[in-house]
Amino acid sequence: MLKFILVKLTQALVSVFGASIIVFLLARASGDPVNLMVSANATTEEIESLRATLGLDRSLLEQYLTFLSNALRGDFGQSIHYHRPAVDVVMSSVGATLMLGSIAFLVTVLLAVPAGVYAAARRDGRFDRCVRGLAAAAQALPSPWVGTLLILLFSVTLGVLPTSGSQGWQSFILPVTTLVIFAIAGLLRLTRSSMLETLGTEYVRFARVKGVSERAVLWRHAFRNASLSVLTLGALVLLSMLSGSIIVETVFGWPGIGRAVVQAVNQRDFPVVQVIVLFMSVAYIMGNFVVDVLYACLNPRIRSA
Amino acid sequence: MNDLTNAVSPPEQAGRPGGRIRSRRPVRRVLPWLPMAGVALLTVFAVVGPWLIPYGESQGSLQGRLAPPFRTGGDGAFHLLGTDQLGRDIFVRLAYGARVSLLVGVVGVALACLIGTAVGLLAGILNKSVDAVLMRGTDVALSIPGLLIAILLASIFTPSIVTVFVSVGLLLWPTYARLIRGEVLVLKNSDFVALARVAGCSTWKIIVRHLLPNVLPSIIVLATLQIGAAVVLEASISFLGVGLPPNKASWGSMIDQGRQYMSTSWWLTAIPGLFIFLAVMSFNALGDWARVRFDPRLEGHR
Repeated sequence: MLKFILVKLTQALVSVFGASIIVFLLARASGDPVNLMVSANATTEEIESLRATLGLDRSLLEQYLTFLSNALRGDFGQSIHYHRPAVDVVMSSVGATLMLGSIAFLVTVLLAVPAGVYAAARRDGRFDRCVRGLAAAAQALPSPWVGTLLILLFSVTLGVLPTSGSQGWQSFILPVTTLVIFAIAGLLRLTRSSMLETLGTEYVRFARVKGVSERAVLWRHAFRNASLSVLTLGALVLLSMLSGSIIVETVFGWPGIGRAVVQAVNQRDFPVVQVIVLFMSVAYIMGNFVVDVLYACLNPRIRSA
Repeated sequence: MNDLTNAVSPPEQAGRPGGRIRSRRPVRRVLPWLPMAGVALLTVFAVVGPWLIPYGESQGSLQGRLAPPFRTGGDGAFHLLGTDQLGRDIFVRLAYGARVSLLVGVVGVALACLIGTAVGLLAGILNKSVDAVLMRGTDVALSIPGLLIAILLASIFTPSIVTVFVSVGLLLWPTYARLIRGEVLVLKNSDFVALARVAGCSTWKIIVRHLLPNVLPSIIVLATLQIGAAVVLEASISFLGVGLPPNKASWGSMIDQGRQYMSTSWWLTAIPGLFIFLAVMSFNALGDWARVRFDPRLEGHR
């Protein structure tokens, strides 16, 4: 087990390393930051001296190593737009994203899991067909459109909910709904299909023969075994909230990192972009690592793989 | 890292109705007529749509701006689906947007397919260290949220349809790589590959003659499933304003530009979104049908 964790951890760290290289190269490819920092009538000497101060005159490898060692100490340079450390700028908006994402995740799980279980219990029944149709629709709904229509209906026409911002519990309703619609289809389908699989097994049939109540068969015998794959995908859904937040936060003017990254790109504020991209990909890689380990704890068959 | 995510998605076929004996409906339609009709209509609309109406993509008059659908605008001209904030005809722009969406769907997915299949085949057939390097690369690619890739590319290069193709391709290829690698790992140990080796086939020949034909059905099914995803992605990229140049019509940017006029002119956002929804529904239904028909193991790959 320890060996398994170590292997997975090494893989995760290698991936983080790879992600840092990509982030670094993208930032370099995005153009010379000096041109954005100096005034239009700066002399060549001034530009050169600024380049030297920033270390831009050294080789790419040297620059990367500097970037890496600074990054490990949590230093990503100054935000070009806000004139304070890029990490601080990002940290002040992470909370809003995490709050929105975790609430949307909870709602998604609380809706998708019971719906998937009961849809599988009565396969091809009315409820199942309904749920499948809704899942197919949710998968095809573009979130910018859903968000905009929700604002149009509840904020503009009915005037009951705020259009944007994050003041008060009312302002959570529309963004959370949009994120849930964005994320729910996959989890719902997977819950349903893994339930269908476990419901067809010997032990479930035996439990039925034994006279166990339908409810106990569903939840205690079938769902408990189906929950492994639900758990895996569930964690990925939580992580996909991060990328979903880019659109949702832009639509609803939510002060999180999704909106921050779009703004930072428009302002060419690359230190901030770097921090957010790295944050999101490290969160994804580490989240996957945790899922792998959790999965192995729960399912001994995986460990040897 | 994520081999489990693939391993745990069970084929839908494996399930049985929950213990009850019930008559199963006749299994599958021969062909999915409705989604096929949807895709066909969309294609026709994209090809001939711009010629049906005598307005240009970015031609508009400010007197005729924000005309509602089925009415005559302030400039006395009739617009089937109304006009936008610059007086441009929405029907014509939707048709140009359909061209963009279809192109991005096909080219972006083809690109993803090409990269992903190559990586998956090589990772599966070559030695373990190549496999490890390629799969870590796949993990890294998967770990960067797709929209961020698009945003970054747009900030580096001048936004054009090519950057959108590349973003979509870069976003979707890891799924192919994982899927194909998994299949190759199984095929590699089968008798016919062993026999081909004994007969003196080179690795290259084994890939082209023996592995590729065997993974082709999965590639085609996954491609069908991903076109819908590519269309949504293009809409999201254009919505964020990092896709095509602003004067070019795209369904996503139409939604974005219409947002400011939402309270008075709902059709600016509602109509393009409806088109995205119907197009994606059609492609997804087609993909689901193809999956069940040709390759039920693919449940969960999207």
